Amino acid sequence: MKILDAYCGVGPWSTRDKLLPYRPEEILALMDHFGIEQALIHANSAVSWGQPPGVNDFVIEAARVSDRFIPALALAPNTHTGYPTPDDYLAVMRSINARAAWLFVQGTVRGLWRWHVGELLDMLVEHHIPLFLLADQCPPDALDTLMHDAPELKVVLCGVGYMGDSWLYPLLQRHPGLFVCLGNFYVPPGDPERFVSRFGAGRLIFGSGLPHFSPGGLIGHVNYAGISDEDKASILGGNLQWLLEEVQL
Amino acid sequence: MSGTLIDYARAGKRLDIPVFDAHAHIGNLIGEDPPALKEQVAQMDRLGIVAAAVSSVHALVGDIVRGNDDVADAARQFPGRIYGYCHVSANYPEYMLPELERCFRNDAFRGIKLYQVGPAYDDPAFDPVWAFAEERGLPVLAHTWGGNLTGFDRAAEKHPAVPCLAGHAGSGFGYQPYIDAAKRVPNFYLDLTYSREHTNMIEHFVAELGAERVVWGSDAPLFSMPQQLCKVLFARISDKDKRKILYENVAGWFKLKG
Repeated sequence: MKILDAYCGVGPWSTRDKLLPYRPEEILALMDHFGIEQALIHANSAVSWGQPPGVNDFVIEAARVSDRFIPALALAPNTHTGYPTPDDYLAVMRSINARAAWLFVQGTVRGLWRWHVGELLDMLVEHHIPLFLLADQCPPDALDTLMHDAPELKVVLCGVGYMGDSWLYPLLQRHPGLFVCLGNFYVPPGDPERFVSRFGAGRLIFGSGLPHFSPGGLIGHVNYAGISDEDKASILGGNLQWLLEEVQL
Repeated sequence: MSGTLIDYARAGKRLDIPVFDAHAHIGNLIGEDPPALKEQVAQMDRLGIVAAAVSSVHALVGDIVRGNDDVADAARQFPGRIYGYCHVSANYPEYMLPELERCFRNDAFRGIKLYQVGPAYDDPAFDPVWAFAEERGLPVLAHTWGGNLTGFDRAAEKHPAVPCLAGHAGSGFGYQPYIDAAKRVPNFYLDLTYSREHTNMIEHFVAELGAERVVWGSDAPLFSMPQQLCKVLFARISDKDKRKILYENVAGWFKLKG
């Protein structure tokens, strides 16, 4: 079964535990062990800093190391210089064949308001580029407004933790373009069977949370699930592959 | 067994080595519908988990007698598959010894569960628990978090005959206090139960302490049972070490047969 990882970081952090790998070659070795064919990568430092200068360079460099890394850029508006514009981002994405984007609501990205990031969202919608968000950076109400205002946008939400279904399920019902990533750490009791029975397998996406988190448990969560092999294949890779193939750069 | 344990995890295949879940529950703390007990046991079957030691969430949230009753009832429904932890709390000293004596009249109870609320685990309020565990040769599982051992290491040191299982070892990258405690206290063991799995954590524990000092539990149904199991199956340690973690280290304490 082909495994694609939707949630994988590369590059350094300002604070790092000594156990954690961060170099592209270290991540590739882990991918080999866990049987992960390709990984959609973001810059580790972007998670806590938003988009400081040069943060996407780590992603671009890693993609040069191996075509098993699929780059995803961290986006941010820049009201001082106006650079990069959405078109500038698009040019970079074309040059490295990036197929997804993140908005880390940190630093200069203060929220998901249309007046703040609307031009970036329009660019994503126009080119069918999926947007990745972290649940703890994005209150459910903000996500609801975002998807209401941009109903064609595909959003992959990572980091849904305990007790998330109470707000997640209504959002999934309201917004067909919302997808959920397993990484860090969407493993409610009774899942993935319950999720699949309610929403189908097409909206659940495997992501590991590497390099902070080891992928084995989440792979097993899917492999041992009481769902069809076809559904397992969708979750482990098929759904992400479809999202990335939809992109029109 | 055919193939390595990681092959089983990759194929989603039922294990045919003994596996004991030393840290599980019945009910659910996190506000979502738990699977019924029979579904929980069916999932153990699908994975190849021989048996589990459980405590009840009712006890964790304060209703100690009801919780221990739940456990007795679960063990009655699934003899040999569900064993019990007797949950006691220093916040309710009036129930401490009576509950221990009541629970352990039932052979299905095989250990004591403590939760990280109220006094530290080495506070004199817990003295009756330690005396009881020592006298009966019972393992004690205690909730710890993020490297905050709340005196569990000191209590273990004072009671060297009691196997002490530190729950959620390594959570939140707080792994070093667990390693330091285990190096100092021979009867202090690291329980891997944790919703997440930090990269290289299990490998680091085994390298620092040996697999003999690491035990496995799922925390099901709060967490995904296969997710917790596959943390170990996928770990970059030997199958021999995985067998120790998954069964051999704890089988004697819980008086498992075979």
